[in-house]
Amino acid sequence: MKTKKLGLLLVPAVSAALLALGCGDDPASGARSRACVDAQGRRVADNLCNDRNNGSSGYHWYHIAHGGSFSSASESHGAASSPHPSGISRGGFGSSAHASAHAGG
Amino acid sequence: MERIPIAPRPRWRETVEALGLVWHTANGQPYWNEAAYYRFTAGEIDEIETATAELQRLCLAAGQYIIDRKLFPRLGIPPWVVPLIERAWEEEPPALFHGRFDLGYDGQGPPKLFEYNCDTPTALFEAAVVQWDWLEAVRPLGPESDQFNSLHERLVAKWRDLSPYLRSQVVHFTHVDDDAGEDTITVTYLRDTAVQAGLTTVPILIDHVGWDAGRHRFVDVDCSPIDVLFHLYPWEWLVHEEFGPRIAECYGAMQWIEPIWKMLWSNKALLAVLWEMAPGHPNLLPASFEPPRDGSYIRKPLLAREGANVTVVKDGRVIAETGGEYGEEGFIYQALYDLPDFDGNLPVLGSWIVDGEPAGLGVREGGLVTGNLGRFVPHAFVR
Repeated sequence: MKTKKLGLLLVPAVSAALLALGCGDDPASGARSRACVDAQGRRVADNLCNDRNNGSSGYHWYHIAHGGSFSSASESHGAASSPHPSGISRGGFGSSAHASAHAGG
Repeated sequence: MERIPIAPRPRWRETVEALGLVWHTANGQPYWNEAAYYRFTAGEIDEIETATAELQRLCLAAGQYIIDRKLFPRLGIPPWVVPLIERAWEEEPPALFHGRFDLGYDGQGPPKLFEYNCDTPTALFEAAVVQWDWLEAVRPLGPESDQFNSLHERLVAKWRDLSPYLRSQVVHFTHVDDDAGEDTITVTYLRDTAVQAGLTTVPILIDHVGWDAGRHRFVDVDCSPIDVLFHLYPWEWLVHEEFGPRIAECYGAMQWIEPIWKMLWSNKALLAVLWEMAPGHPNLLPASFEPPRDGSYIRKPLLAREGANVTVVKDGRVIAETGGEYGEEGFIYQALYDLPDFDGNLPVLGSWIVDGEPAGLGVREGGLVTGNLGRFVPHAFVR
């Protein structure tokens, strides 16, 4: 049999973050969690996201919801679907998924 | 084709979790089920592979058939989307050209197409990574144990092929903030394959995608324009949501992976079109937009996910149905197929395409309708 090394880097990091944040907790809790990640999606220390001086370095919160609760753009980027003073609005995609909490098939 | 019971690895949960399969258990039952595996002969694998290639050929023809006959209303596609689909079909923008054919197969007759999940297919990570790891660890058929599985290599190769044609070497990947982590990990896995091809990837939740009215561009969380967007978020949702019309506004400025022409294939109307185009084809089940006269059929919404809103009717009597919120666009009616029954376990094959070519196999077990609670069971064969 052939063997092959898949060499995954991102999956172990993100799945570890999911597990650390309680993926699989009681869905009824409705808890939501978030992880600070860099521009490549690798988890980094939370203080990097909290530090406003790091705003342009690509560090951002990666929200992980439980129990059908979804992160909204409003939390970190202004009210969903309403334009920011910069002319950027968010939340105009994603509404269809709220009923199913899953978009793959 | 046999279903072979086998002892699961003692610490299988920890093992698959360490790989990234965090959704290995659903509702207290294993979703990843290695208490059995499916054993195929090399001839059966060849037959599945050949049928998969043939179905892909048929789907290409069906796409052209739909466009030539302007069948878009039968698919429930909004008129404003049609020019984008026609343009994308003609221009062939970068695409992984991937998907999962769900097939009925019993090892006796030819594989039969149930549906094609080619816009937002999941069960990819399980098929590409987790079952391969199982095979290498267990080798159920001895040292020569093999698996129909070249998914990972083909995905990396396809990203590499696409690279020169991308508007940017930075590819954004978007998905929903799903409870189980399935969409998150599926997309993260695809990011890994893109990174191995030399691309830079940026994750963004679908509801964090921004619209910059000044620049007429979709932007990421740092307000940088998105040049290339992989989306595990179906086209039929994208076009109907608030930002949907903006897709046309900036269509020439960004690349969507997969492209919008996938709306032609990710719609169950494809099944009726295929049968209309190639009636009697050995890999197709009779399908139509009207219920058959014999009163036995499976009714599927044109647009639905994971077996929702499906009704199974036999001799005029409903024998199974699933709930959901789909069906507004209409339904198709497909002939029934008797799945092989292995002590109450009914397998559906997920035969994968990458870059338009057969790439691997995953098996899921369920009841009469395989929904998102179907169990993934690994497979093996010896060539």
